[in-house]
Amino acid sequence: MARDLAALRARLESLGAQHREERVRPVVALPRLPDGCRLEDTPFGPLAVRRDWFDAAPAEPRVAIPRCLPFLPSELERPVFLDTETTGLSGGTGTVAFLVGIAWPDDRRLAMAQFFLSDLDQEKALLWAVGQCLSAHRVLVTYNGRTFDWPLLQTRLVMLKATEGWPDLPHLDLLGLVRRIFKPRLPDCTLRTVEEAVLALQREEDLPGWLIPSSYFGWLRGAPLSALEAVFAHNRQDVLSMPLLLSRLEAILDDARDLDPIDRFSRARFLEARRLEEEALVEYRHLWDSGLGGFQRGALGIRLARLLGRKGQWQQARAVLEECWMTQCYPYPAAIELAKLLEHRARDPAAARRLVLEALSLLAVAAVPDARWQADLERRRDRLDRRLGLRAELPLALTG
Amino acid sequence: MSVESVLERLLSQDEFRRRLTLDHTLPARPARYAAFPEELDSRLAHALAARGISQLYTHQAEAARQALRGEHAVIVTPTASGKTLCYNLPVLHAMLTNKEARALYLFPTKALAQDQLAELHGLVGELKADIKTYTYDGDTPVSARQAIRQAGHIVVTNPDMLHTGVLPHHTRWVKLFANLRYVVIDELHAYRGVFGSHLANVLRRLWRVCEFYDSHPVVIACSATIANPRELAERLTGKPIRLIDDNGAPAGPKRLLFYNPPVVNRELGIRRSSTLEAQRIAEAFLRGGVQTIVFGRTRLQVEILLSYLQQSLANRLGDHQPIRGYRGGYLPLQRREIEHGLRDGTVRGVVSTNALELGIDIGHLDAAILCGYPGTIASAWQQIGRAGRRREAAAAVYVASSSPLDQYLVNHPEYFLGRDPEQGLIDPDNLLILSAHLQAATFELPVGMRERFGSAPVVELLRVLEEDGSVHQAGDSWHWSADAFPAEGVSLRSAAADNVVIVDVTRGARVIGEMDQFSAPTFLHEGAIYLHEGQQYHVDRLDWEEKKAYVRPVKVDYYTDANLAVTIRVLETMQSRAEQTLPVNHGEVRVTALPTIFKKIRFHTHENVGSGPISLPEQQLHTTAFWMEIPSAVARQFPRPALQGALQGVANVLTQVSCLFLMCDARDLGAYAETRAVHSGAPAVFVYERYPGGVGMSARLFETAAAVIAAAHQLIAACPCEAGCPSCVGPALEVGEEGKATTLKLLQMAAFQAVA
Repeated sequence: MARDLAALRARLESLGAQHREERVRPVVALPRLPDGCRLEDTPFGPLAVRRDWFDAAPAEPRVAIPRCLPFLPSELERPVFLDTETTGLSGGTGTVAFLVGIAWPDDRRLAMAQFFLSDLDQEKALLWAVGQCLSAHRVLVTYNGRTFDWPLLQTRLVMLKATEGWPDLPHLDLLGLVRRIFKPRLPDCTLRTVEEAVLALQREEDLPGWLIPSSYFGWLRGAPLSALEAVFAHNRQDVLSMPLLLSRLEAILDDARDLDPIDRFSRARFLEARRLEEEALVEYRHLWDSGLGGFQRGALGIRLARLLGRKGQWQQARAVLEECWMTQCYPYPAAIELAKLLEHRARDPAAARRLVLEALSLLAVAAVPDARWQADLERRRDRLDRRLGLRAELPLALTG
Repeated sequence: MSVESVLERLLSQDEFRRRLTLDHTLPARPARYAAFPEELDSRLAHALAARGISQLYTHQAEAARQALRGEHAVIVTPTASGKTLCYNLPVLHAMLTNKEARALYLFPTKALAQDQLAELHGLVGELKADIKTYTYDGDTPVSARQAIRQAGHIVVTNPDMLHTGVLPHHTRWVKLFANLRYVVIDELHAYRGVFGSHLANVLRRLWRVCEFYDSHPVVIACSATIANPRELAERLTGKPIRLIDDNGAPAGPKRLLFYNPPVVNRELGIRRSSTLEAQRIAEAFLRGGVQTIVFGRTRLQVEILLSYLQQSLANRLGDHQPIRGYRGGYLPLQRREIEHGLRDGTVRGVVSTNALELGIDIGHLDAAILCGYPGTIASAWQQIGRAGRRREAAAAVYVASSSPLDQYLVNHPEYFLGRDPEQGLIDPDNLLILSAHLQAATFELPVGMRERFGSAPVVELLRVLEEDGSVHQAGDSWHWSADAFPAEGVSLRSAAADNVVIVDVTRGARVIGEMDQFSAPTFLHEGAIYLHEGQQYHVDRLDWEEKKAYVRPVKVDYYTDANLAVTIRVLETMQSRAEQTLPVNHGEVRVTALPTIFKKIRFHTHENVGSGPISLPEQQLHTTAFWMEIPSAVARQFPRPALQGALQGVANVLTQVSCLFLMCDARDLGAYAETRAVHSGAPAVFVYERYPGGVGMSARLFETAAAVIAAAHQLIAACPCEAGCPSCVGPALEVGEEGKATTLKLLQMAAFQAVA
């Protein structure tokens, strides 16, 4: 057999097939499991599992999140946190979750189980155990699980023909919330960045993501355990960050006082989007009065004015818009909103027209021309001209 | 004017009549009908009636019957004889009777897929049924993909998308695969050579996935007229196939003419340009008001023809664009517009490249002009087939170019008429291609220990892959174990990875093509003139490390020719026999090629007008080849330099003639002559395949060796040049002043006479 293989290899070689530089060592028979892993029974054979318990702060009732998102407080009392490590990031049927880390509150601690695929033909056991674990809880919490981990697990279930009986839990992907509140300010929303910026957590010596698949495959082929241990540690850290992040997000949604003003503004926009308009209004007002500056002030002014308008508080809205206009904060949208207000609420089309003309002349000398506002302002001017009866005379005057 | 009157006018001109080598009438064919199969849902019959179809042709009825019976079949139909109904009927029937049924349609190009959709929508609309049809390819917006996967009843796609976009993600397509009733493969004849060998493997993967979801789809394939449609279909699909070739579609009588432009320079063997001749003939038809289609060989030729015709007819036919170009690259909207114009008569003429690029709805015209031989007899018939409506007379005129193949054909019209069209050849078990798809298959579903994949040594291949680290054996199957996406690295249109990419620097670094690594130093060295789609390009720079050739369009009066130091080593002789007294063989060879210098050769005069060095590494190619040996008794009768020239002449003409017998391009083959072959010490001429591992062409050459050699002999004998020209043995410069005579003598002695 070996001789034929050599001939085949020689044939393939000469045909020009590409090969990796290093030859990989043949598979080693015995599994050597990472520290703390034990074999547990499942109906599909033994499965390697590592269990840990961590101290945790007692979970407080979640009230803020249920107000903003479609989850019940009772569900959020029994969360289960999940993160997977996979053999590739490109998805597809050939990508496997080889390590699934799951944590949940257990009495006053946080229990964690890491289900590990000690060989590629043990997925049925792993998926069964994961499914069992998840069914005991009420809501699934992940970080980017909606587009990555969960679809991957679904694919594995189809591949193993094991979709029956898989739990169907409501899914809270923390990435969504994180993006809403922190994306404007942070360079990116990767878990690492968020850990540092929001949780003040620094990881030491963390394994870079791109090394994970090769660490697993290497181990499968007999490489020493150290790389795999690093993967386990990385996975534990990923999972542990989630309850912390959940608590922090709950706290932030509850009370914005300690937030960076930019984040506070993002939070307020989120509340407005979730129809919590009273609260959003209070926040916008606070930010406005306390002098939130920079490029955001204009956007803030517009939103505040619009919301005030929706609540019928036209005078206040006008004051805000006038300030925007005077201080050249996002002046063109402000002018447009103010013109609308002057025309329809204050019933002063002449004043509206004056404003529009001022805005147009400002736009004409702007260093950076902006076509969006140009078109709108011109239409507005023309309409106001007609309304004020100024339109008809124009052609004659021009030909004079 | 009618077609007949135009023909009469042309034939009355001496000049024209004398250049004809064929004036043949293909008789009319009446329609033959058959009843709608009883099993077909009656709503279908009603829907067809509403569209003016009250009966089916024999082949349509037969196709539907076989499909409903669950038999895989291939339907052979000439152009536009209602073939789409052959598959749409059984597919729609399945969907009318079962809401969950699904079907997959495969087309080689997106343009054809688009046309298909238009046709389907029409029928489905008539049926007023909830049957959703979509194309799924690279252009499908991401937002639509999810919906298509879930709800699409008929998914229209192409092999490349199936290969990288569907199969490796099959868990997202559960609905499709679990309920797949039919797989429709149209334009089957397009899947030959390397492309076909790849598709055969993609289909192997498709059947694996279907088996996983427990579905057993029926294959309905459609092919143009080739010599071996059933064999090709069976090799592509791996399934037993029924042949349906009882074509019931009607055809009016058709006059077929072969025209050979006159020689204008005897010494050099130059003929009047076929482009201009084709233009004149097309004008005669167009001026007579006959709706005409003109086929050119390359895009450039099409553009030239188009602009000539538009200019010269501008005054005559008004300026509302009566002559249009037609290409696959056009947007669907443009194509619909032209088709519409053809139907309502506002478009009088169309200039196009090959028939494959034509949509189904272009219908029939009254005259077809073929400017140059399209490369295969099968496509020539397809192009001829574009002329001819149901009852009126039509005409097709083939205008030969000066290429050796064209000259052979135009001078041997009996060959064209009498011969079966070429065979479609593929080698689905080409080890390089197969192993690439075996990897993709492993990614899609773990490979079981006892599983078969073609006739390959699966276990050994997997062990090799395991050594590489791509797969891992766990339990009783092999799993994918690499952080990579195997399908992405495999192009279905090439056999080797790492092709050299050809970049046109004047169009913002646009990639215009690719070439295999082995051939690149010969054709893409710095200073080479590279011909692509009829346009000349100068190779400014070849970045060998990056595998990129930077080229720029030019118009020069010379071509370049690289001198190669070639050695061919026979690794294994697989078959051998004596053809008359000439030993012919077929086997595996290793070709080593090192280009040394290149020459610049002026057109027509063949003067040497310059040269330059080539400094690139030696290339190795492990492939299959056909070779013939010259018995020493014959070789002895020629002085050494004459023998060298004659062998070279044989090599040149063999390459050309091989293309007649295989459906391939001259660029798919390489030829080489040696006065002392390494393995035998005797003179030999090799024809090898440029695709690593070969795709079955050398085997076919071996089988038809007698006919090939005879054709080579005929071609040289009939060539009007004096001492050799590119149309036969090659320019005298290459084969010697007596080269042509010597080559002929050599062939005669070796092949046709007993050696004293």
